[in-house]
Amino acid sequence: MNQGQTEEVHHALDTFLGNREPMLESSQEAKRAVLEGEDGSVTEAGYFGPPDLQRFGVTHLPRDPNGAGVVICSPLGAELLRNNRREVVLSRQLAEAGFAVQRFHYVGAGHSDGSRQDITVESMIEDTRLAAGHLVDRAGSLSLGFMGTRLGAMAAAEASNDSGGPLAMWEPSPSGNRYFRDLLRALLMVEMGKVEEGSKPRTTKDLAADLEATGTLDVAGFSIDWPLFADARGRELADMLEANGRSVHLIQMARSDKLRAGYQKLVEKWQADGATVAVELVDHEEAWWFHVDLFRSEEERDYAKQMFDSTVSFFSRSIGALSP
Amino acid sequence: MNASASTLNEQPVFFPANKDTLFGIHTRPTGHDRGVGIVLVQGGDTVNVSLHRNRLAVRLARELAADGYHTIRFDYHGLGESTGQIKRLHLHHPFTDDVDGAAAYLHGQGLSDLVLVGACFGSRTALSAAPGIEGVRAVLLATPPSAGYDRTEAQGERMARSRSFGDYARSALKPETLKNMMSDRVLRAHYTKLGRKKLSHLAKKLVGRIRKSDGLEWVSPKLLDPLAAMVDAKVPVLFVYGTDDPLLGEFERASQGRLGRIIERSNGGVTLHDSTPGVMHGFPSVPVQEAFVTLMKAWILDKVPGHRDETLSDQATG
Repeated sequence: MNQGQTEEVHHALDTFLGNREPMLESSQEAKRAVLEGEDGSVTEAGYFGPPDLQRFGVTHLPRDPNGAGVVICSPLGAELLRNNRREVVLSRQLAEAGFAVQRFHYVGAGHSDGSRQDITVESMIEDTRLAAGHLVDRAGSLSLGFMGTRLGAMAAAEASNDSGGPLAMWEPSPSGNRYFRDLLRALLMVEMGKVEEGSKPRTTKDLAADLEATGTLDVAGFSIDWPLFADARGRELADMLEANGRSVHLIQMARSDKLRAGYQKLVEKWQADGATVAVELVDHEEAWWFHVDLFRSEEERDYAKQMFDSTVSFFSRSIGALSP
Repeated sequence: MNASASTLNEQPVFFPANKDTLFGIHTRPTGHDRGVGIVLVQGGDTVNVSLHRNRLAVRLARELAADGYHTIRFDYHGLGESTGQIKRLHLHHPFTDDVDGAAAYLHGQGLSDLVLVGACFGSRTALSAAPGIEGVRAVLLATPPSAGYDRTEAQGERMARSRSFGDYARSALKPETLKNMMSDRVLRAHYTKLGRKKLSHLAKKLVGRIRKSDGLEWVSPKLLDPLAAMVDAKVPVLFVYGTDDPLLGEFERASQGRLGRIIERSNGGVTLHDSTPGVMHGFPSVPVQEAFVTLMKAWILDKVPGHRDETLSDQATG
């Protein structure tokens, strides 16, 4: 990040923390596309951040604001496509409940500027802070909560420490190592059909070595690059959240009525550190990198409705606990 | 040579389509403006949002902008940022209203010459919409299904059709696979789903719902009729498949009947590109994506050059 971009991030952070007046309107105002909803809410699609490295974002402004906002941190790659509609529906439901909501694409992803090599967990965290500042710019002074899915949960957790607001997570990646283990196994599945008779299939270690040597891997047509791997692999979600006094909501997506051991450890650590942690078990195993199911609207899926209801209820209950 | 576009050349837009409001992004040329608009129509298993796999739609739009073309990529109604709701995707109910809306948006920007580019479900949607849109100068169809299925063919269905039961059994019985399946619930879930699809496919074959040969009865009028209209209007149409696409075989079988007669009548107006190695359906690998970007840019530049920039040699960039 260059000096100008660093200043933008600091400005956004100051705005987000209430230390500075909102930015004056810029040329980005002219590019904003606005849709007025039937419920009286307003959806704005546009760009924010430094002009030479803009992030794409969608802001939902409620008809009856409750003084709170939620920043939604998406996952990456195939997971972004898979989760997108759920995030849109969640945003609309949060706006109906009075929350201002900010969704966005990280630099190097989606409709934003940048290339995929720009993506690291650190860049995702900085983008989240910028998104939070942008939401405050658009909606006025707010108490902020954060929500993240998969690796996006890391960005949400770290950025949420700035304000100490509530944090919701959908199927978070407990660690960078775990995230990449799952990703590389997905690639191995794709390769399985191409292994020739008698030849030895590759292992996740082989793939990791390939990633380091070549700088990129092709996972079912999604490029995964070394900078993200190098930054993510040492990170543990448990250590990224400053848990004391926090409200946390964790949704597990699995065909199980028990919390996974990895999530159990997260919950226990955060509770020991002083957080209030609620868990929701959703009876659905998500194939993040494979779209085996035929298309079906998210709004119709029972497990998705459970996720929406649970998340909106969590933020609604947590409004009183949000820092001003 | 112009640089690829960035967000500085892009404008998010909401535009009407039937009773819904769709979201799209209009990418403008970075330099010389050819006065041609391209509608990128989503498809396949990445239909949820107008990015396509690995940001392919974003890359296409920004590279075409460097070549002087306007593009619009958009979310279908009920998906992405668009309003509305959809329950299912059906090949025999393409979202032509959505493409009409995107085309109308470009017309409203002063662009009278349009190109429609669609992938899979999007290709059938683009072709269905084309005869009703003023100013369509070319249509590019990436891996369009020829058949009249009552649902879009997701990756699992394709894998079930293309691989034999023996292939699955051999993969599943490998020691490493068995070991991983014992400990990895995600792998178990994947194999269970693929196995169910394969059994379903075999069952359909047994009861005669799928014939081994002769897909002539399968070929959808919703493909044939608009294609014939494009031929009558002398609009070039390109079918694109990878060498290993099962849909290529379906196309070749379909070409034995009315489809073949329409192609013959076009006198070279309808062409086939089937030499990209591998599977193109869903763009499941980066090399296939890159190959598609290159061939698409070259074909559009050849068929719809628009206003030429006399100061430059008119070559596609990239």
